[in-house]
Amino acid sequence: MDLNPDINVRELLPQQGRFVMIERLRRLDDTLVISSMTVDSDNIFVDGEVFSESGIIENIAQTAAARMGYIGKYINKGDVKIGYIGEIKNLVIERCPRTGEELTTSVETVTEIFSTLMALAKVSVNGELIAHGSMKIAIIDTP
Amino acid sequence: MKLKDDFFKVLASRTSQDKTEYSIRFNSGHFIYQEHFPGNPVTPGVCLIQTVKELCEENLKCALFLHKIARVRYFKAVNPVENETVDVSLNISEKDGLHNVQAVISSDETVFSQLSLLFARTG
Repeated sequence: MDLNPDINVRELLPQQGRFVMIERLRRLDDTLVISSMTVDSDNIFVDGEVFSESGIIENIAQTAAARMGYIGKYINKGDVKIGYIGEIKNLVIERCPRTGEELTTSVETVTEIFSTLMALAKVSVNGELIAHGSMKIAIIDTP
Repeated sequence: MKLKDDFFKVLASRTSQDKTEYSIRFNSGHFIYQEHFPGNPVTPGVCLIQTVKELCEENLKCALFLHKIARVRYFKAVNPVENETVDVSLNISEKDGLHNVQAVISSDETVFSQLSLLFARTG
């Protein structure tokens, strides 16, 4: 899939405002999506200089959702639908990122059945793996 | 972002032999509900995890780091208008220096989420 590097991730997500927890899409193909985000001090998930575990999990969920948003909007030419986390399993967090650090988050779809996908996620900072685990996300048509 | 006393408020708590039950109220006027999602307020799944973490911190009187999610399941979305108050039950045990937390978020007969989390003490 060709990816426009200037694509605005906010067009691909139903979340808005300060709750948007990814900045850019780096790569997107049939099964893999990679996002990046630098942790700003005014990020709502930052306490002191630490980006919280909840922020990491939201970053993973939105990376997966952005892929579905991209497919919905640019491939299927439809609306961006709302996705819900259905399940999180064996997600290990080694450490929380600090402000100024850039997260690179890859989400690989393992199975996709109807509108539910099971994905494996890896979050790293400068090549250091800081979180990994699996997530199930369900996309629904009507809110 | 601390959620307690801003995004949610503890109305009551009760501790029995092996668990503590909290009755909490979500603040439907909080900005998170305007952005998640516009016109369709739903409590973000991560905020339910954060809520459980903060209640555990209060319960154990220490700061915690969420080291591992063994499993979190979401069965039904929590709408802050329809489900303004929910019950959170915590069962906390200690193993190898980590706090193992089994939590259930429910309201009457409806179970919204079940969480199995492993926390490390940080302070």
